[in-house]
Amino acid sequence: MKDEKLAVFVDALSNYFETTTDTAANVGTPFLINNINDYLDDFTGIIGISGNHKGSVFYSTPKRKAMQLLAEMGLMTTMDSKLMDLVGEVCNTIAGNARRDFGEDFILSVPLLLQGKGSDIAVSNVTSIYIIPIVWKGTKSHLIINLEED
Amino acid sequence: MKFMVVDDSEVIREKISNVLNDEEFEIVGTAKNGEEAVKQFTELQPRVLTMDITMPKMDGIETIKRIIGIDDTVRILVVSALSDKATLIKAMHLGASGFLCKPFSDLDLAEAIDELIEDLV
Repeated sequence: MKDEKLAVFVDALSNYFETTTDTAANVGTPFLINNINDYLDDFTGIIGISGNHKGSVFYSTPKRKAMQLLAEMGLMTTMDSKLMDLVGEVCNTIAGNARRDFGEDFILSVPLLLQGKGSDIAVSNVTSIYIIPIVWKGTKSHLIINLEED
Repeated sequence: MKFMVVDDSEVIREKISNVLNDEEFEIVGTAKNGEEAVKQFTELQPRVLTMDITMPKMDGIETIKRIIGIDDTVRILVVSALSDKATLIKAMHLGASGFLCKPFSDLDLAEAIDELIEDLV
């Protein structure tokens, strides 16, 4: 995927935190990595992409940040199932918003949800893996983009 | 006014229900996919629905088609992250009455619903 298209995801992330919470997030500059597993945290949502792009979009966050985010939405809980549902929804929203730029052939799967660090995830090593760091209320989470254009 | 929330995310179902569960609205049902929504719609007969698009089993586009086929006077607000024009046009063509793009604030939702039911109240 061309580097300039990453701006679509950076903008979607900024908009997500601005709209959903009262505190803007500091969305960092995307960078390339080799091993996706180093960036997976307590909860991870994955959206599979097909159509005019192929690959996946991941959103991974520590439990504390997921709880804070949910609380900002007026929903207080420590239930893991609800926190996982939230990360799936964040990932789905960011990927869904990208359709504004990538068109209706940017097709999204329903979210796949993972719990726990150190998961042994394998992704395409032909395609670049980009990380976009997000710091919100002092806690870091990551959006991970592994997409190739068809 | 009877209201139903359709979304595969429990968090979103709860958020929408919390914002709208006041004197004006009665949340009569929530559904996590289109199949559940169609089944509950016949039984509960809500006047207004919010509808996600990307859902397992039956997506929002097919669900709108089926629900409008049962009652074409129902008001449907699509609440989806899919922000491309083609999805919006498809949903409106099938009978949806409004579109709210995720992410949304409580105020965004309240305003979209007010606009949706303006002539019903």
